[in-house]
Amino acid sequence: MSFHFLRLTLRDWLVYEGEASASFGPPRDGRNIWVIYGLNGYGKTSLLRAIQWLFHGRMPDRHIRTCFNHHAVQAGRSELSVSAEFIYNGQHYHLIRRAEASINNGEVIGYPRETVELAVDQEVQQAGIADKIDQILPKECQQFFFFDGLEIEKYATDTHTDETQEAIETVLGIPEVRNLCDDLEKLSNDLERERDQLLRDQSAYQDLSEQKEEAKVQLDAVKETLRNLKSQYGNLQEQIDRLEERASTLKQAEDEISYLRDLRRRKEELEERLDNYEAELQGYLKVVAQRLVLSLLKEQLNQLQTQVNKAERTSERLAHAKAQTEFIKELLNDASCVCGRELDKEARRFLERRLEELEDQLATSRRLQERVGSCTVAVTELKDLESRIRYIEGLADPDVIQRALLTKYKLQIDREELEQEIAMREKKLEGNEDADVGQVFTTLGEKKQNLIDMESRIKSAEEEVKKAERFLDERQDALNRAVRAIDDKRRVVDTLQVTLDAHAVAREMIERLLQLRRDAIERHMTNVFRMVTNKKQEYDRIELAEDFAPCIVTHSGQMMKRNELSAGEKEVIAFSFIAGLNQSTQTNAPLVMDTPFGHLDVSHRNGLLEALPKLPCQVVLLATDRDLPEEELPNLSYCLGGRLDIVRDEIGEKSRIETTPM
Amino acid sequence: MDDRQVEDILQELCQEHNVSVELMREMLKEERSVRHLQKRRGVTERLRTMIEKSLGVTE
Repeated sequence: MSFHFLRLTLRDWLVYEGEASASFGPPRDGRNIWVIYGLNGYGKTSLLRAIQWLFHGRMPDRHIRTCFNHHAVQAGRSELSVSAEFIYNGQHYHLIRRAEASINNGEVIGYPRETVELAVDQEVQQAGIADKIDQILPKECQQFFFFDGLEIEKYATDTHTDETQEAIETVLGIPEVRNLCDDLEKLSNDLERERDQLLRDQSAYQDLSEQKEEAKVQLDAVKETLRNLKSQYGNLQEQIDRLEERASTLKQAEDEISYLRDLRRRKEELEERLDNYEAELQGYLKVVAQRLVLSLLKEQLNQLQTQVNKAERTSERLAHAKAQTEFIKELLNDASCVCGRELDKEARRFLERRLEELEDQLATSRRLQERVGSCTVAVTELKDLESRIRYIEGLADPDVIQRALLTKYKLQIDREELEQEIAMREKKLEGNEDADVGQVFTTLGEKKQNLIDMESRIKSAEEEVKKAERFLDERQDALNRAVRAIDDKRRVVDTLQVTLDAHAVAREMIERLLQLRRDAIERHMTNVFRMVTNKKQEYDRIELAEDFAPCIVTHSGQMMKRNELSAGEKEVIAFSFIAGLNQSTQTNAPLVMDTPFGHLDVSHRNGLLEALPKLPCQVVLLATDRDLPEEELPNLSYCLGGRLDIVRDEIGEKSRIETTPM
Repeated sequence: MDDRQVEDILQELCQEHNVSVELMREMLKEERSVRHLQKRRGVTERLRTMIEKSLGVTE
């Protein structure tokens, strides 16, 4: 016996005010029946409900807020509790469930707060209590262990509800196989989806490869653009640095340039003065030369003057000769002398010779006169030259020339010094003097603006690169998935195949187990039924339908219809079913039956009492003296573990449980 | 009905469907351990791991 109640304790539960305890004692071999007597209304069903609530916190027809003892609530006690000590698989369990309610004017209000405690071998469990309880007694199965005899008739209906069927399967240990079947089906569906996805990924490999290559090309292009932009940016930055340095230098060189320009202006002035002195000195040198020719000029002038004077005298003679010539010509023409006598030949020849001589003289005089004219011009010029020379002569003082030469020399030294300084400063300025500072700053501003524009372009290009990299990564991931898909497909296909095979095993196992357990239940319940039924000559066995609904089969093989059965017979079938179910499972929880013989006649009751000791579990019968007359109790003495009585204190209006010695 | 019968059925079906008995036992044990739990999260993944392990697949 793997599950045995040692003690049940109720506190302020329904008709039990204060504490009421039912002690069963340790299991005893062959004595598995405990009878708790109680009259109607004394608290048998209250005890059954307490056990039902204790394990899973629920009852078939009540809410916990209706379970508080009326007197306790009136007395202000707001907590009730049910506890059980039991042995399960050799370990001592102590399970306590409490409910605490709010009380107002002697009434329970709102929903009570429930707590549960579990100790295993005196060790208090801190977590997972509900799961542990469910492991001991699945909540779906509770109905087959703790039940009201009048309620079990539902198990003798034509069909079971899904809930009942599930509960039956739970008792039979089918759910884990069914869960495995469901989980494997779910897993196979998942794997099929995964396989299909892998197939899609695999087929997408080629497209993805091409897309990846395109993405790489695109990425390289934008990276190249970015590199170029950065290179340009670097160059621009260098230009700006240089420009800024140059601008700074030019700013500093402005005073130098101004001074240099002043030096050049001074040099130009100096050179102008030097040119003037040079011209003046040239003039002096000419004067010196002229002085050398001055005496010669004077002599020439004198000669010319003599010739002029001579020519002037010749001119007088020429005039005289002209007059003589004219006179002789008149004489010759008149052919008479002044004295009136005619000219003879001799006279005429004389005159003609004289005329020839005069004409020769006249011609000579004329030539001389012409020469005198030239000399006169020359004399005029010479005189002019003489006056100039005399002027220059005055100027060409050696002291003046010496001073001029000294001044020129000083000016030349000044010019050389200026030239040296200019050269030095030009070298220092290194061509900066010609630069336009304003233009430099304008260019610098433009370059800086270009730099800002380029920064924006670089930023855009960087974003493009990131975008392209992301796209490439996505393609790479997809490609990796596709590659993995190729590798994974085999594994998934293999896993799927095993899953499908395992699913088939689980599915068939359910069918086989159900059939096996159905056969076992049929066998056990038939055995019980044969002991209990009062129609042993007619009824052969009980068979179960697909949904575990039991059906009587007669010896002639006829299936009895439900409506042909009496209430008692239905109750017997139901009990047989529960007993068969209990014997077919390893749960082995105690059977706690409230008024189990409600509709049974004596024959059935005796049959049932004959069957109960044969069950491999503790049986607690909550009975009235009508269900189980006390005089029949000795018949059960061989299998009776103990007797308890629910007694009623009518004055105090409360029930208590007493152990009655046998 | 005893465990021997269940074991026989299991072996017979596993042989029929060419599934490892050990794998089925392991999966049933897993299902049994979580059957009473309120939440059965991750069971499918654990079953898959068991199957893959039985195939010699290591992650």
